[in-house]
Formats: sequence, structure tokens, C-alpha cells
Amino acid sequence: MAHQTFIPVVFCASLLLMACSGAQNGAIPPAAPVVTTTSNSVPFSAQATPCGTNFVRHELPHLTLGEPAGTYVYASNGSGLAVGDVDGDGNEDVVFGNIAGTTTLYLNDGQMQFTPITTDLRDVRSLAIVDTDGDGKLEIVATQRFRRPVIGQYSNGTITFTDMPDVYSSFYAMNWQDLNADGKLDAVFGTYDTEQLQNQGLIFNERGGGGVFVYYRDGAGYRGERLNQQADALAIAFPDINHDGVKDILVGNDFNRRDMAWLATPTGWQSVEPFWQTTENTMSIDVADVFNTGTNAIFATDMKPYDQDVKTMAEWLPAMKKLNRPLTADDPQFTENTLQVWQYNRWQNQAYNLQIDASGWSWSGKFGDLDNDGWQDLYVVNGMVAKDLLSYLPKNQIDEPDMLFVNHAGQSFTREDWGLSDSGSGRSMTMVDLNRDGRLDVVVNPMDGHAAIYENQRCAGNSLELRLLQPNHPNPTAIGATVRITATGLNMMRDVRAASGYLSGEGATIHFGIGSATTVSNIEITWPDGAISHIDSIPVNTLTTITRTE
Amino acid sequence: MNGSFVEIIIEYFNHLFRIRQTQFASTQGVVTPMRLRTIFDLRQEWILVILGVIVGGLFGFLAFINKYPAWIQAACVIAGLLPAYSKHVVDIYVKHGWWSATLTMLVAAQSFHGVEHLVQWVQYHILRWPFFKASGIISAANAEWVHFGWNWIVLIIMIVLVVGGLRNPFAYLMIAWTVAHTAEHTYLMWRYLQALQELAALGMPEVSAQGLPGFFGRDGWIATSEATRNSFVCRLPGFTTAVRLDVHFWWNVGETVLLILATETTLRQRNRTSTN
Repeated sequence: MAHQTFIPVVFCASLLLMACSGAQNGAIPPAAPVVTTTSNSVPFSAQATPCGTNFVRHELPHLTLGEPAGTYVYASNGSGLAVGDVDGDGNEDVVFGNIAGTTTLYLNDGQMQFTPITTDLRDVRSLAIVDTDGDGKLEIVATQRFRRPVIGQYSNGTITFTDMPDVYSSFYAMNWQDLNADGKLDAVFGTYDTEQLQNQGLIFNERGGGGVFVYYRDGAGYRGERLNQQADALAIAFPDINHDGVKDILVGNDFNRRDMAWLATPTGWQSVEPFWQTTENTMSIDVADVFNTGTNAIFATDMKPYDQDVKTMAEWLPAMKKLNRPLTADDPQFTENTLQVWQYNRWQNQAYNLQIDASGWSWSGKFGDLDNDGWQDLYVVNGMVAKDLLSYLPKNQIDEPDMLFVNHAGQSFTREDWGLSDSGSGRSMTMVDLNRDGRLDVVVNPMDGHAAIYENQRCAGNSLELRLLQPNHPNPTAIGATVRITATGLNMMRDVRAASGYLSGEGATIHFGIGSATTVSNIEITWPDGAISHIDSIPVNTLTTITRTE
Repeated sequence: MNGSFVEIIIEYFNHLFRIRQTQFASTQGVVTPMRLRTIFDLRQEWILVILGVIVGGLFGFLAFINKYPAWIQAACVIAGLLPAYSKHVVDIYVKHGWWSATLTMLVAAQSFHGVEHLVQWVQYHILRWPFFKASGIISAANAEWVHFGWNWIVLIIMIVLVVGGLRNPFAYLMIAWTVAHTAEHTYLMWRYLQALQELAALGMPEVSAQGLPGFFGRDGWIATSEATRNSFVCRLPGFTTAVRLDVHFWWNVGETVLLILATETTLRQRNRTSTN
């Protein structure tokens, strides 16, 4: 009898325990506050020329050069670029970094005419245009080889650079986000130890070495937190790795050094290895909703020839044998691009299956809807030039066309030309609508070559561009915000971010291609602090500024 | 005797065989039928086997303490067993003729080759060794030209054996399989030589071009050719995804299994016929 009553008691107790433990682990988060907004839509400018099938290349005078004696590794890694409305005229301006030459800001008049402003800044690696101090004006932030990062303020045709306060090390990769939920933009920097060791020798380590650092905005300066001691960081991104709704840190490392990831937890940053397969020489990272599932995929580039013919392989083999170190057992690194897709509760690399694993000696690789069909396409700039590493090749370079992979409804990618197959040695690259015609243009800062703008003149579908504003807020351009919309039955998502790809700063305007849709509905904005705004509809083919009003 | 060059050679060896068999039968009595297990049965040579293991093991141990690579240590032990197996093959030749001796050598060598690939597979998938390290028992043999040469030898011997009587569906399948496998290795060899030529032209003759992908598997011709990209072929399991090590593991699994089945089938048929 006792046995008969024991079973239901245990059963009920187990149910109760399961229910309680479920409530603890999967606690229903407090409802995010809903905030109101106002919006102002401006129709896109009329297209100056009849649309066609290609992008049109505009070469700029800016020329990124290596050292005076020529381009050797690691100067050959090139320099960054960034876009942002520096002069406040409503058009995205472009700044191109340089190694031996000077950094140039091109002020955009919105008609594909640019006014260059040359600076003294050299040895630039990563660039971003962000409002670091929340004063409502965008600044140019640059990391430099063997020098401290600098912040440049534009005023009346000149840029004045000053050292970034409280940051004393030399860094390579950089990205910005509010990482401690205090509303202010924080920075994550990563060192490139291999170059530092070549330059300084072992004293680099004796002086404290490098690693990945988070700099939290603290008053007028920054408070640093060191996440690890060593890095060869070429790219930093903030994907939500564990899908808890909070952005985490992902650092892509060069030279066989494993990529690093840290989860944001209530007790601090927790180091994790979330991927069973990664790139070996991570050159860039982009985070994008490639399949319109409302979940971001993570794309990283590496070095793998697209064509595996004998001539190409012979050009690659000597360099790859120098660069690729023997991997240990269980090493997750492969020398090819990866596209980490969240499937079945884990990250799975789908780059090979989608045939975007090989795009040459790849540098910046980014997703953007270049034909406004509602699906983000992939563009990768590539090529290598180095007098020492590639001394056996004519002109000391691997010359290969930049590669565009067109996304066919998330099912497959095919390589297309569209006037984007430039054979220069591309490094940093971003996509931005420079002439406000609703189509993404492409900007490239190559190595040993002139910077170029590829004006999108393809006949494309409808689109929508959004600019989020938080007035009187330390993060006025809402970096870290996420926008979801529904159009043509597709649920699309974009993030506002400061940088992505390789050394490339992004503009704060986000772009949705919506194909033939004439209405956009279910617009949901998740602001950086987690507050949510809902907007019923926004007119298509407009640049719409959405201003948070509370 | 109105046949091809191959048939003339076969007839010549048959002639020799008949003489030796007559001599053997007159001195030793009735010839016992050959079975599949005869190929691997070294019990008759147990003294040579033990001696081989001792001598080979001794040399292997010396190689070990002198810090020679593991493949040299393994090669010492294998070399120690060669006299015993050579005597075994000679014995089969004397008892059963050139055809059986040739079949014995092929089955034994292909089985060893299959084991070599199995060891590679275990090293890579079970022990999780990196590619460069997962190169089997005698890794020095893991060279492009060795595989190329070996597959052509297997193909030629298979043709000779079929002409000489190894005729059953497994043998014909084996021939087709070996032709495809040899074609892949010929393609690999062609790419290898072309790459060496290109590297020499670039002034880099010392750089190795081993390990390039072939027709099948990851980064192979089917996976990367514009003719087949995004086609249904790329969705067939393993066709464009298996790593080179796996591709050649399966080639050799197929080859070894088919060869053994073909051998067993024909030997059974022959024994049944001779019994009747």
C-alpha cells in the first residue's frame, strides 16, 4: 500500500521539480519596454542614368601603398576604410586608410562627386566612423601599426586626430558596441602579435604582449578589460552566439591561431569555442541574415583558390606551405571560408555545401542585397601582393578577380560578374548607398591600387533604407539595434553596426531589398538597450529616419 | 595459339607449369586444391615466419632506438616477413602454377594495400590525427607515383588473370572498378606532373605538389567544375564532400572486396570442376 502511494507522490514531486527548474533555467524575461518613435521618409533620388546589368567602376585618386621599399608582409595586409556622414549633410562619406601614403576622406555630395580631404595619418589598419563620445558628431577612429589608436574630428574641411584616451597599446582589428548596457559605445580591440613580434622581437612579450581588450566608456576616457594574452586579430564581430538575445564577442585570428569567442554572462565574459569547424586564417567576419530566417549566420573568409587548375595551384602552393602550419589532431580549422548557420541547436558550417567556401586569397567578405531581390548576396575582395612571400610570381602577386556570389532564395549561390570582378588586390570593402538611389554601391580600398567605388546601376527591385536615431543619447546612431521587417512574405533582419568584414567601418544606414513588394509591414526595432518599437508600415523606396522619442 | 601476345605469354607459362606440376606430382603425390585461405595460410612456413618476425623486429627495434621514423620501423618488420611469403608464393607456383601464384601475390598485396588505407582511415577518423600525419603504416609509399604505378600494375594483372580464367561477375566488376580507380590516379598523376612543371617554371622545384584533389571528393573536379557545380551530382553523398583520404579508402575497400569475392568464386568453381 505504501508502495502504491509512493509512486504518484514521486511523480507529482518530479513534475513540480521539473516545472520549477524549468522556470529557473528558462525564466520568462521581463517584457521589453515599448518605446515610441517618429519617422520621416524621403523618396530615393531619381536614377541619373538608365539602369542596366552592371556596376560601374569609378576610380579614386587615393592609392594605398606598402612600405617605401615595396610591399612586404605584413604591410601587404593593407588598410581599412569606413563610411559615415562625417560632415552632417545627409550623405555617407568615405575615408580610406593607407600604409605608406596618406589617409584620405572623401566628402560625398550624393551625386557620386567627392571632395578629397587628405590627412597626415599613415600606417592605418582598421577604420570606423562612430560617435564615440555621444556628442552627436561622428568621429573617425583608426587603429595603427605600432601606434596607439587615434580619434579624428572633422571640422570645416580639416580632420584633427588625437590619441584615444586611456588606450596605450597598438591594435589591429576593432569594433564598437555597447557591451555593458550603460548606453555608451564601448570598443573591442585585438592585436596582431605576429607583426608586432616581427617588428619588436621578444620584447613585445616582455612589455606585456597583446591580446583582445574591451574598453568600456568611462567618463571622458575608457576603462580596459583584457580578455586574453595573445591574438592575431584581423576581424571582430558581435554575433549572438548562444541565442540568448545578448550580443557576444567573436574574434577572427590569422595564422592558424584559433578564433576566439566570449559569451556575455551576468558574471562577465565567458570564453567558449562554439564552432566544430572554423577558418584557419580568418581574414574577415560578417554577420548576416542570409536565409531570411530572422537568425544571423556568421561568414568568415580564408584563403582558398576558387579555380583549382594546375596553374593556380602551383601559384598558391609555395605560399601556402609557408603560411599553413601543421594542424594538431582535433583542430577545427580548415583553410576555406565558413558560413556558420544555426541549425538543430548548434552552429554548422554550410559554406562548402553552398559553394561559397572558396573565393581566392580573400580579405573582406560581406553580405548585402545588391539586386534588391530580398536576398543578401555575397561579395568578396581578394588577391595578394608581397615581395617576400610571393617573390616567385610575376609582380609578386596572386592576381585574381573579386568574387560576387548571388543568393538564390537562400538555396544556392552562383558566381556572377556584374562588373564587380576587378582583379586588383582588394583588402577592405563595404557596401553603402552613396547616391541615395536605393541600391547598394560597393567601395573598395585595395593594396597597391587605387580605391574604387562601384556604382550600382543594375536594374533592381524596390528597397528601403532606414536610419535610426536616439537623440540626446550617448549612442545616437543606435549601433547595436536590430530591425525586422516583413515584405513579399519574407521576414528580414538587419543590424546597425560600426564595422564588419575586414578593417571596414559600416555606415549607420541599413538597407533592405524587397523585390517587387510595394508595402513593408511588421517593422520591429529592437533598440540597443532592448526596448522595442513597432511601426505598422513605411513607404517603400525611401530613406526613412526613425527617431526614438522616449 | 592464334591469340594475342598476352595469350602467347600465358601459354608459355602454362607450358612451364605443366612441366613443374608433373615433376611435383611425380615426387610429392596428389596436388591439394587451392582455396582462398591458402593465399594467407603461412603455417607451412612457420619457421621462416618466426625468424622473420625476430629479425624484422630486431631491425625495427634498432630503428626505434635510433629514432628513425615509425614507417621505417614498420617497414623492417614487414621486410622480415617477405622471405616467408616469397617461399609461400613459390610453393603455390610449384603446386598450382603461374596463374595461382600471380593471383596469390595480387590478393595478398592488394589486401595489404587495403589495410594500409584502413590504417590511414583509423588514424584520421578514430585517432583524429591531422592529414599530414595520417599516412598509414609505411608512409613513404604514400606518394603520388607509387599509387599511380600500383593501380596500373593491379589493372594489368587483373586483365591477365581474367584472360587466364578469373571469370565471374565479381571479376568483371573488379575490372571496371580498377579502370575507374586507375583513371583517377592517372588524372592525379597528370595534375601532379603538370603542377611540378609549373612550379619548376616559377623557380620553385623543391615544392611538393602531392595531395591535390582528383575527380571525386572535396574540391575534386566534380565539385569545382563549372559543368557540375550545383548539379545533382554534387548532392550525392560523398561524391563532392569526402576528403581525399576517404575517397581512396573507399576505392581500395571496393577493390579488395571485389578481388576477394572474384578469387573465392573462381577457386570454388575450379575446385568443384576438378572434384567432379
